[in-house]
Amino acid sequence: MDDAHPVVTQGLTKVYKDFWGRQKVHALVGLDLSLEKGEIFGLLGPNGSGKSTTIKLLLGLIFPTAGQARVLGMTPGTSAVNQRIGYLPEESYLHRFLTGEETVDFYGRLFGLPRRRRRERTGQLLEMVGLDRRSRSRQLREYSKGMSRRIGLAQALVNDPELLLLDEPTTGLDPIGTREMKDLILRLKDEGKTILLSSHLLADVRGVCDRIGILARGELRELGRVRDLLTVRDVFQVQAKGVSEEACEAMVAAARQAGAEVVAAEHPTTTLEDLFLRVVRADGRGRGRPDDAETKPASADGDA
Amino acid sequence: MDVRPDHSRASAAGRRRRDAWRRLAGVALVAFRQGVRLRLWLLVPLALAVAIVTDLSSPRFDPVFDAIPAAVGTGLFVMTVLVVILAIFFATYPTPAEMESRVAFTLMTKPVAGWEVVTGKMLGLGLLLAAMLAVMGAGLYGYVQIRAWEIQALAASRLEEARGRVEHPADLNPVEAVAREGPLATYQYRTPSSGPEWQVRFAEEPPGAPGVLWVVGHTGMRLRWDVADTPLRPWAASGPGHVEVTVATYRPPGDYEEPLQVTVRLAARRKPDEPAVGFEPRQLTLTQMVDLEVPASGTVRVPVVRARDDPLPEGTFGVPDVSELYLEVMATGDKDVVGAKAGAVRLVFPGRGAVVLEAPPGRLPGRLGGRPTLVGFPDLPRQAARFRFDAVPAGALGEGDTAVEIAYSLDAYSPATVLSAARATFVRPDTGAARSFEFTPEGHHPTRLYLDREFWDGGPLDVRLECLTKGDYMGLLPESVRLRLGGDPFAVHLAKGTFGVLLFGAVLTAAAVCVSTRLSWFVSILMMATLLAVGTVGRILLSYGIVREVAMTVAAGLEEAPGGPWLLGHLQLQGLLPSDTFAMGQAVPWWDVGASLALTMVVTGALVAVGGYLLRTREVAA
Repeated sequence: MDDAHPVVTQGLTKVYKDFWGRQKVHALVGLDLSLEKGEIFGLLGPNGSGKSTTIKLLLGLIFPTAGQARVLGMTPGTSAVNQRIGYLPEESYLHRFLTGEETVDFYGRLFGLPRRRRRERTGQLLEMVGLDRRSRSRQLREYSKGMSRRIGLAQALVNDPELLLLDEPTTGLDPIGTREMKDLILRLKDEGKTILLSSHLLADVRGVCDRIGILARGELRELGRVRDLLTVRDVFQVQAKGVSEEACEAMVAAARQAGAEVVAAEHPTTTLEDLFLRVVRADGRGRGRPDDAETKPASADGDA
Repeated sequence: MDVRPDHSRASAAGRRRRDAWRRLAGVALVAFRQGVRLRLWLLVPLALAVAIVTDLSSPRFDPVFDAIPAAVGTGLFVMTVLVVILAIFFATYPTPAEMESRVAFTLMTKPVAGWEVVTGKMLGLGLLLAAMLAVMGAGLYGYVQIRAWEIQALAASRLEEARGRVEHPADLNPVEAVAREGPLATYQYRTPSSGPEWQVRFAEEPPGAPGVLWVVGHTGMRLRWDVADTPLRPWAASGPGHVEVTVATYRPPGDYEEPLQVTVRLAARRKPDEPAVGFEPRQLTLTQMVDLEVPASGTVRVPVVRARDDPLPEGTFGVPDVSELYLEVMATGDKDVVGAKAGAVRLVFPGRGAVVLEAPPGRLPGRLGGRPTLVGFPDLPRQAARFRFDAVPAGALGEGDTAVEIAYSLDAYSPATVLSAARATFVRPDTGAARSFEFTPEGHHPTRLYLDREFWDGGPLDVRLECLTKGDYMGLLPESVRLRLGGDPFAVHLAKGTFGVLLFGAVLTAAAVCVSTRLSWFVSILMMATLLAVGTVGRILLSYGIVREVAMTVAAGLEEAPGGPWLLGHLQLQGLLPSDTFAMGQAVPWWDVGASLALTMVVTGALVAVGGYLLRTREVAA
């Protein structure tokens, strides 16, 4: 492990046992993984595939049955590691009797931030995640799902972490919230943070992750760069604007003449997410933040 | 952006300390807020109402003296119940709920140590508890003040009625004090340096009796020699002999039909591993008695043989081979007095020789209910008990007259209540000045007598007690006579009592937080209920036979150990508040408050350490 690899696991295995110590579930089997500094890594897989178990092992919330994990070069769960990481749990597991401001302030205290800095940081983070002033002074029990995810993210960022572990960050969010979350993740990447996120919503991670790993039944089945994994090598696609119908027919004919099998020749469709956002924003609802216009597009990987 | 603390000017240790305090404060604040937002404070008015209704609906034997201690006791008891309820809640809600709602997932991914979480929670919940008890204490203070006004007026009217009707004016001192000062005064007490020393008072000391210790017949007093380590046992084992005791005698002038007799006793106590010869199968003590007329020479003689299971000849002692063996002499007739001094006992065994025991006898009082007793008699000679205060500094006495209280470990009893009388004589050993008071001893309340500053302004003081009515008795312990000195204002007194409950609550809270770090809410509640049940059952068991014996043995061993008495006292203060140790009227010394705080901190510190370890080694997300 070196500075270039904030997370390294070797043969990481977790077997859950029952009360009598009998083996119950093999949640993770021999995971070998290495994250590169500054990348967004997506851990994908169906429910029960071992994504959350991996993240909990990396946080020291549970202990491995075999193998080992190193986070920022140290044993997971120690104060020194926790000082430098941020964690957004699968659901926002926060004290529901605290207000938004109190929540961020509390977690700021846990990082030893002095009062003045806590106050500044709380304001910045709540602004960043898009919680307005009225929401901040309400108890979390009154928050919607989306607001809970936002405050969860705020607490995860309170220490300006080097490494972020996001467990199902878009679960429960509407398309606007999902888009904003993805934008935020990309912005954090631009700030130089390394991000490990898990999700079973494949479309949500597609435009965000640099690399992905696919887990199934606790085993890592696929690992690589998103573009590499998704590229269909024997199909070639040209997208062009302002082409006439005749020119289109000519291009199809040329392809056939060159011996290629034409699989599809049609006008591309937009994604449902883009359509939804366009409709909702045109209707004046769902405006998340004033700076929406400045957010980067989520389709950095190139929606076709 | 750099959001880490600015540590440029702080040392590493100072930085760690400050960060730890911030984390502790954070966790504590959250725990406090949780309690407040769950509206736990609503329990306070409820508990106060329960305390007041319970107090108002309970009959009191004597409202003037009993109502305030009962009200304070009830209030503190209800506070203790409140603390127990809250401790069970603390064990079952905050931490288990964090585990079940998975808030702990988030919390434990922050740079916070297990002990910081546990300590912070304990501090926050302790703060909540302190705030609730403070409000409850304030409410109780207001209620007791209102009762106190009523009682002061009641005492004044009772005093008015009683004046001129009582035989001994000193008997009115306690009610007069309530009428004057109100019932909320608290005091500190100074116990005697020595006493009770049991004496016989004569109208005129018998002539030629220096060095003689006397005992008088109606009291059960006796002279005692320890003969376990004398040749009596080995010699008796080898053949018969006899014991001679030479006594001095005295009878007040009068006509007597019976000659003067003494009762000689051989008292043996065996340990379970010692032979039981001459004892009943399960008996551990054996007392053999013989009444003997005292001849002109004053020497009485008792034949002795080795103890055996067969009946012994009349008037003969059987000597068992045990490690506790005493020879005792008592006067038989009510007015008869016998005495002895060193060298009074002689062992004579033909073939083995004779030996004189040079040790002087000890003098023991009669006992009732296992406690030493002063027995009443109208004429001299009669029994007296002397207590001595060595060199009391004048500054310790405060302003005004000094009150001396005489309390009774065993209820003072009189078969002739109306005529019952006792006398307390105060003697200054340095000047010989003396002052006497007569009073009616009664077991319900201590007697209070006042010494003015002209008579005594500090220095040594002797207090001699005598019962003057035949058949009366007063159980006396070393602390039965005590000087009553200025104490705390009632508010401080009540605050100390409330603080004691808080310390008890702090230990319970720490235990609750500790067990709940590792256990589910259901197991936590069972665990806390078990802890409390063990305490309650333990107290019940302590009132029974062998458990009490074991506890007494452990306590006795602890008293012998360095620091043992201190630990013992404060363990009691922790476990038995408020009813047993927090007596209304008796100020609790600040030293005791501090020591209890220190002990609480040690216990809670240990619980926090255990809880922190359990939390950090737990798979919170499993």
